[in-house]
Amino acid sequence: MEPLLSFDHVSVGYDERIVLDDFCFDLFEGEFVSVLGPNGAGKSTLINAVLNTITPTSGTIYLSGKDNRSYSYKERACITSVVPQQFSTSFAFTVYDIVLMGRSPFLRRLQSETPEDFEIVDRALRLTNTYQFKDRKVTALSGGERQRVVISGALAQTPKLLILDEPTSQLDMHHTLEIMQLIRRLNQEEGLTVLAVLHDINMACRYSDKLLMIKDGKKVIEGPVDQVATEDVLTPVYKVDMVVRTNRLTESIEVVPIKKTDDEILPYRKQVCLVCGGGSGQSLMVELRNNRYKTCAAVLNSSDSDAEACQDMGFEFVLEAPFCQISDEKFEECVEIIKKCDVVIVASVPFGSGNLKNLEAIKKAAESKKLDVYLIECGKRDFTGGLADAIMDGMVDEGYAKKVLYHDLTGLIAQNVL
Amino acid sequence: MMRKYIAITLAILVSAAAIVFFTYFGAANITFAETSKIILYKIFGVFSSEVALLASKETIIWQLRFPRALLAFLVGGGLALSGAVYQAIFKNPMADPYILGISSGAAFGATIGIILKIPGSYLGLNLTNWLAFAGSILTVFFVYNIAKVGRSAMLTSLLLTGTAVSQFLTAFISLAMMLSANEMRRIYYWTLGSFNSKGWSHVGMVLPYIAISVIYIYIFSRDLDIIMLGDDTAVRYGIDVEKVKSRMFVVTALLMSACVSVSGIIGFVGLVSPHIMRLFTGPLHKKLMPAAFFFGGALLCMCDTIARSAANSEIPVGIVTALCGAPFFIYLLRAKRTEVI
Repeated sequence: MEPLLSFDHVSVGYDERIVLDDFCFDLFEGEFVSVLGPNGAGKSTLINAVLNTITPTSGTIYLSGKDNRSYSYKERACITSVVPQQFSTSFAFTVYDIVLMGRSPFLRRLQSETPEDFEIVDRALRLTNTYQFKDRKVTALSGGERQRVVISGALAQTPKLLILDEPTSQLDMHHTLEIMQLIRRLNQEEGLTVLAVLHDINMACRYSDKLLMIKDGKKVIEGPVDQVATEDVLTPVYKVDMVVRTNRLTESIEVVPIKKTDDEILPYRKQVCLVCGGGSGQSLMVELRNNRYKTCAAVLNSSDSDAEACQDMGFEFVLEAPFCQISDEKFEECVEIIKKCDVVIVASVPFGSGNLKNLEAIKKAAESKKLDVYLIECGKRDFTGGLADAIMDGMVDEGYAKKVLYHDLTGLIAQNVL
Repeated sequence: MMRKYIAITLAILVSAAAIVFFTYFGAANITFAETSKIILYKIFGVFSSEVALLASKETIIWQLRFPRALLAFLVGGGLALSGAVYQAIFKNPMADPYILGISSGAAFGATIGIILKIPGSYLGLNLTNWLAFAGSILTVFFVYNIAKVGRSAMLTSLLLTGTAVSQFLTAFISLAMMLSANEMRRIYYWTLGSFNSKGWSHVGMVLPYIAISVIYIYIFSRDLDIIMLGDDTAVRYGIDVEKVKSRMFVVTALLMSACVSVSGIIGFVGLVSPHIMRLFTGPLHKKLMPAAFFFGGALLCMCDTIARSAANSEIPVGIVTALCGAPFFIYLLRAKRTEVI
């Protein structure tokens, strides 16, 4: 299939400064692709290149199979429409006037609009929920209303390709969702092809099929959302330490930025395995994560809040069915996970017959690998009739485990002397 | 559709009536009926027996007052039309037709003509008119080309270049006035604008430019609507903005130069006529352009009548337009505060 829009080794820029460099990208009919990238990556330039307000210094852009340069502005506006970041005017056009202008690419000068044009405009107004104020002056609208009018105008162009340049940056969340849902619906139900430049990665993950990540004018990666929205891809691009997880409410991938990092992303320090459960590990997980320890967890039951915390932070762990004893199979898995680690921390989790095998797993792993084990001291935690305490004391006696207080341990973590 | 034609017809009739009415005003004792008959005779050939008895009045009406009123009407319409175009292209309600230095260019040309006192005329116009015409055309193209980078002219650099060139030329004019004190009054008078002793040859100078530009600008009315929303928006809606802009600059430069060369610098009409009409027609140029043209014409025609008949000696019409126009405009701004602009 021929792509609707195709960048073929395109280099484009202003004066001497090259913004997009040897850029290749194909957009096929019916796709919803979001363009992501830090400020100055070349996202807006990409749009300007499609509009031909800047022309490539090398390479060719193909729109609907033809060289983009071969279109007149008018012809291009019949195929593609653009929703800008913001729009304002000091002249009191009515909403209807503005949306009707969306039909102008299809009209000759002095030619009047046909009934079909008016129908298209009415439909565009209804879709964006702006019909009720079609006779109001555009100068009297709020930012959100105005943006919906602009989208209306873009839809009145009946484009094959709708380009959005951060369309919701001025909108509140209600209208953001309204607009994004509308565009997604048009994409799914009517096959409208959408290319959206978005700052909000979460919106991009939620509504698009594919993501295109650019940085410094070059394509970093392009692909389905779950392949692009990963910590490995996003962290170096944005230089932000972040958590990528699946939001259980929206069922879409979500990025939670934690803090900005310096130019160089520090490599992971030691690998730590956490024996936790019942919420005893959560604060430690945050400490470990923020201090660049590669963290995993021993066996956790699937309804456990620590299990959910591990999922949220993207930590590896061994999952057991809810309220069940650790099976032999999971025990072996757990031993393998611990063997990959340098340090084991036993949080202030109580031990019963269900999770005792986590301790046994540490012991077994320690037989074949040198481990430092930290046992956080807490009140009564042995509900196995002395078995758990015996294992822990045994580890201390053998010299590879020591008992610590919680805040001493967090001190060690923060000083990176674990 | 019907309403549109009715509105246009009505506007033409009202304007014609206004021209006749303002022609009737004046010192010599001529009645309104006589005025009408003379004009109708000259145009349609009716009332020939009655007009034959009014020979001297015929000269006053047909050679002096009527061409003068018509010229004021055409210049006023041209100024208003150019004002509307400039306000659209610059997306700035403050834009007026003189923004690119047309006025100072014309004044510079006229100053040279007045000082050099070169005799002779061409097509009934003296050298001062032609130098003013040339001065303003050269100035606006000079400004445009200075401000142009590649294919496009940035609006802010156009405005700044226009202002700088204007100041430069104005300095020359002031210098010329200082050095030739005899001509100071004439130069100063010229810059205030006047239709004193203007006749058919001046109408002939303006008419072709008016006719061409009215039609040409009207054809581009939808483009101007869209450009008014911003150049980015216009590109998105498929307008070749730079092409439209440069065409509009050429056509208004010719139109304005023609107007200014015969009338001198008349302020305010070009600025306020589009605004006042926008209050009634809305910003769409298809309606605004004709409305602004007729209103600007009638307004200047009225102001010129006041200029030539309010005092014993003639007042420069530019003073009258500002004296009458400014308070009226301020009143409108106050009265329809929410809707203006």
